[in-house]
Amino acid sequence: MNSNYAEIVWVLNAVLIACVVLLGAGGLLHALATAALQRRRQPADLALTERVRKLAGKPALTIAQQLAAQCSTVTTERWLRLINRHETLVPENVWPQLQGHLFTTPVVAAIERQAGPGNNKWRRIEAMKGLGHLHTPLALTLLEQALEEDDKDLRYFALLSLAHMRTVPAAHVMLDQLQRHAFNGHKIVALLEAFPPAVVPAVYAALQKSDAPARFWLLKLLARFKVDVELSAVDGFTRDLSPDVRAVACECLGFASRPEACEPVAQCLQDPVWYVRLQAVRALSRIEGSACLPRLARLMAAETSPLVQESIKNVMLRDPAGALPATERFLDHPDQAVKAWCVNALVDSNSVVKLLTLCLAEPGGVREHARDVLKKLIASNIHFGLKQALDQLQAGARRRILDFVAGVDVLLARRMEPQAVKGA
Amino acid sequence: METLTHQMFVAAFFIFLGYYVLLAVYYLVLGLVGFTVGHQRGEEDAGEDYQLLAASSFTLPVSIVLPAHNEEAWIADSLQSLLNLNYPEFEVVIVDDCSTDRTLEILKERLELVAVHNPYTDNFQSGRIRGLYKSVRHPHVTVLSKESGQKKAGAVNAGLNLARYKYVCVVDADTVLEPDALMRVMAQVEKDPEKIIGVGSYFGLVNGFEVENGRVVGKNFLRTPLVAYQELEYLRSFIGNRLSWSQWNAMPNIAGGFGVWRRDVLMELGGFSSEVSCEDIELTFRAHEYIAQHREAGYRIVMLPYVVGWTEGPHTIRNLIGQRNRWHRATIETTWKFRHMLCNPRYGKFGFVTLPYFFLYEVLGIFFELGSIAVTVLGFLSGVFDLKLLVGFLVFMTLFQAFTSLLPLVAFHREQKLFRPSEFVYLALLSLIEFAVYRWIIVVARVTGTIDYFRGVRTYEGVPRAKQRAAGPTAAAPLGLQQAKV
Repeated sequence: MNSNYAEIVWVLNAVLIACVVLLGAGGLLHALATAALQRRRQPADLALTERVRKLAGKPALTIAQQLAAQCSTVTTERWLRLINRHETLVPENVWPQLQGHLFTTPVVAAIERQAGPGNNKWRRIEAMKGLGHLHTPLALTLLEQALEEDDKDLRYFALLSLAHMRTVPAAHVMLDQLQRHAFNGHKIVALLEAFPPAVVPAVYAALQKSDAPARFWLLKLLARFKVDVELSAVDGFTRDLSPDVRAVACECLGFASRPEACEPVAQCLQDPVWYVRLQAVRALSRIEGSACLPRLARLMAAETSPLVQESIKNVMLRDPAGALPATERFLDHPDQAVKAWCVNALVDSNSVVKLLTLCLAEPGGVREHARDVLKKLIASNIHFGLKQALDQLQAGARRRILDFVAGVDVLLARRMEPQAVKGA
Repeated sequence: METLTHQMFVAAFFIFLGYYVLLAVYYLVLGLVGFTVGHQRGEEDAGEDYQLLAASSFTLPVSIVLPAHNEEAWIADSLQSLLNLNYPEFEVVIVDDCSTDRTLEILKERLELVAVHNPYTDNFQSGRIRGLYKSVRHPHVTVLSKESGQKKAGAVNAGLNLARYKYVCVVDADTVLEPDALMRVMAQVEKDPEKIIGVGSYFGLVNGFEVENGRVVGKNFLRTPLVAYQELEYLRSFIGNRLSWSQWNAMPNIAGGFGVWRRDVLMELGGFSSEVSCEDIELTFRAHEYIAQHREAGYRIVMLPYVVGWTEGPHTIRNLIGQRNRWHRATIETTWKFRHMLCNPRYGKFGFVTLPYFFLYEVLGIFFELGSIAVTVLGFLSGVFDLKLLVGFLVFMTLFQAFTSLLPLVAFHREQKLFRPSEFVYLALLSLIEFAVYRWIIVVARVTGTIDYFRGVRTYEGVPRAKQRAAGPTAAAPLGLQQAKV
């Protein structure tokens, strides 16, 4: 009975031994074969690259003759490895000639055959990438077919190969994929970003017939193209039903930086969704610079989102002098938070010292206005760094300011400098 | 009576044998899936256009968080490897967790730090801040110095407070990243950033390698057996198991050495937990709960086979036992904490494929392992089993161990082509004697880890650094063996 148990264990051992030997020997053979293949393949690849590199600067006829000589000896796989890495391996001026020459050889047909259905998936992908680089006559058709395959790798690399083509027809196919949500929108626009501006009309056309997620990505893409945005094609999206689209429409108009874009963007300052308002603030500051500050100050009075408030503050800090009139308007706002924000903006923009200096100017409108602002600041009962600002003034100027402060709030003036205000 | 004892021995023996056969089949399935996934990822990597990715303004920026506690031996190389990264937009947040050595000084020297008083909001109660610094030389680097007390989790959470980008990459301070690590990992994220919430990838051991200015310039895998066995363990875990689990969205652990997480998900999860012995596995389990709660979103946690970096492993048996003790404690803590997920349909394959393995192999495996040997030896001594069965069983255990190591080794080498033939043979031969040599160190670590768990030990002990750089056989021969020459 015992030996029966042992037999069972030894049968299992035999299976395990077979597995271990198979794995060990297989792994070793693979390691050796890989090393040997690498040793053989690398010099041949290097030699081909070297020969192609040497063609740079030679007359067209010589290049054609030498390439013709190569074509008979170099395998399609080797050509593919060179084509797929041509950006780093082939000199820029040789590439168009190499491309043109390959069209006259059976290499292109072989690559197209390899990219077609029925082949090993990864060999097919390798060939598809080659098609993208070479722009062969059948490339677009084959890649479009691959986009309809069930295999996600085939679809992904077909998309990547289309991105290498950088042509308007390729862009059309990719935009169609975006509208059908066949891939993540982020990936498609990241690839389309590298296309030439000639594809922009296709993007506008796609915008008109897309759903909200696709519109979002198309507008994102338009924002990144360094071309003049067609305002009429975009500004309508600031009233889109989707807040994401409204926000990105503002972003897009902001990048356009054209004064006509102001109004549609300004309307978004009243949007119920905070991130639309945030993008509107950023866009307006890009379009108008500090000229948008009065609008932003009005928004500030009612703004509830701290992120939007912060964004407005950032715009104001970029131009403290320009921001001053906008902030001072709300120093006597009934809402304590708005008041506090305006005081902070004045302090952050280092405007308090400037204000005190203006209070000492020649009699006139400027001085009266500055004194009015100072009065509001004092009346706001919010700390605004008066003592620190006073310390930066000359003794005489400080004395005169303190007299003025005493006229508004004698206790505050005493706190600032008890000795000086004793008699006030 | 004698018959009853006999029958009990036989029954126990076959239960144990059945357990191992089941485990072998489980490993075989995982290994084969891992083999296929590894190949697919390898081809994807070879075909990816990284130039396009690097040039795109849509490429997702990443915040790298590097917690460091007394890491003077590695911090300079680790930092330099981050600065060497080939990625279009990233920031680095280094958290000095109350180091008592020269870690902060080295950072100050290397980065030309200036103290800043930027606002800092602590979203995770990660501890008091001592100072915040920005680098003059590298404006995208921030250093945060904090009080200690919340283990590594507190330091990572403090870094998260400062992280600005949508994806956060957590890296250990003793990890030297490969220059294209982030690019290769983020290329996969870019394919579907709305669904991928966490990504891990393979990293090996740096012990004995030549590191120069944050780059691994010389790799030699003919290392001391202790280090080589750890490399085999990493392969078993990352390639043999996690890669397959990842295919079923049931990956239980994004290792702390290198892991990319979506920041909004980390914030929702409340960051890393400082209450457990090891924060990475606990967070991944919590993330699976999150995935189950948001099933309609189709979130995924992904494991990749790409070599993203190299980390320092324990260089003595004592340190190894200490580290594995902590890992085992963390496994028990986490598995017990999330026991409600076991075979719960709500958690899909994670509850039905991964967690049963964790309960049966990671937590209870030690009892099966010791129990099976004890039953076989006692059965032999009491005359129930004959010598042929005893030897057969020991050979079985040896082959089983070798099989579980060889499968991922072959799968990994096939795609990554990292080892020279001699190195492959060395590792394969070591795997054949793993049961007789290395396995018992892990058994001791697991036994002490289990005892410590029940004693309530929840500490986080770092591994003492030895920074072995191409140290050769004299640097450490912890098994009393000289470095093998094959």
